[in-house]
Amino acid sequence: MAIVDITLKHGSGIELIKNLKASQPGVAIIVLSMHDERLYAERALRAGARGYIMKRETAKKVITAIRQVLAGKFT
Amino acid sequence: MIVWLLARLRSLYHNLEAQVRQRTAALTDEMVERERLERELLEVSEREQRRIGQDLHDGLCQHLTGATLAGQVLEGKLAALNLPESGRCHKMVELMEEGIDLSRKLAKGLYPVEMAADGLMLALEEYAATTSELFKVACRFECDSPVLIHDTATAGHLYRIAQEAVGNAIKHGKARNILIRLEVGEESTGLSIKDDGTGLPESLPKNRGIGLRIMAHRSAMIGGTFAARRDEAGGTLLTCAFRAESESSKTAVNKPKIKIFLVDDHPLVREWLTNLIHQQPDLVVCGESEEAPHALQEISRPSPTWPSWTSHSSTARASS
Repeated sequence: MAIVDITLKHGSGIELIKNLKASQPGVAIIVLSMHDERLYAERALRAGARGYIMKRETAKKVITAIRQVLAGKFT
Repeated sequence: MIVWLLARLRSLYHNLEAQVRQRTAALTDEMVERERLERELLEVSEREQRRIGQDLHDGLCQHLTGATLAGQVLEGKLAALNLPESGRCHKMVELMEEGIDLSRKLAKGLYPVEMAADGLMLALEEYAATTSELFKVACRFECDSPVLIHDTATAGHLYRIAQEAVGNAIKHGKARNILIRLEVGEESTGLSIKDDGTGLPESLPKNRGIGLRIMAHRSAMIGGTFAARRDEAGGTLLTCAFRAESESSKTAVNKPKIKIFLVDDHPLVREWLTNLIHQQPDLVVCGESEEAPHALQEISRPSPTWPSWTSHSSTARASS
């Protein structure tokens, strides 16, 4: 699994998700982001992420989201 | 005459012995009954707290959320009509959101530990973070290897012990730094709470020892041993040693772990995630990066510590 932020030092998280889906389709990807705009979530999910969660969420919610994605669900 | 006296004395002695035995048995029964009542009282109290917590979360929070949404709709309509009341409505929505937040925190305090085996670790971590924020102290939670508590009642007692200890450290000990630790030993598992406050007084007034007695009682209820002492380095050290379900924990720990790669440009976020993931018995962080090209290269590269995704059974299964 990979946990990816949208904003990165070099390159974009969305592009990374697309590249990862193309080269490593077995990797489950979840986005952990500061942006709560729906647009970002939609773009991330369209790019191939299976989950999108905010950084401000509690530790428990983050772990729950990771487990849901690992179980093959979308979150 | 002497024979009669001796017989009489023997008879009196036997009577006395029988009375002592009866009284001892009655006292033992009374103690057993008192312990049972104490246990029941604590269980009823826990159950009631849990019920109120769940009601707050599922009832009041949902009700407030509905009211907030209705308020947001009204605010939008007022703003569309350029009415000045939209500002007041916005303030009202903010207050309701604060109300939701407060209710959630209250619910969390009453019903802190989730049913999952790793619930205690997560609950203690969150409690430490909330305590730091609310009381402006440095409260940390440490757990080097996963401690899984499958019994919810045991997890609840341990959480309440930590809560009471931290509360005492802040209120009575005026501590600035508090460390909550969960660790697995060879014989038993230990919960410890250490602070840098004024330390326990030499003798406690009657009304000040209740918290300690309840903590000791909770420890006894989970078959553990409780100890409280002044720490040599200053402050107080409270410990509760208990037997966790070691076999289950070991089984979970020995399973192949699911590897997670972190890509985030904030080192603090990566550190927070690493700590969080390493508290999970079946998850491990196998690498991290702050930029996209490097992350792609690392994740695509097979290595002894970072096997190909598709060849690693647990990852492939979990990611499919």
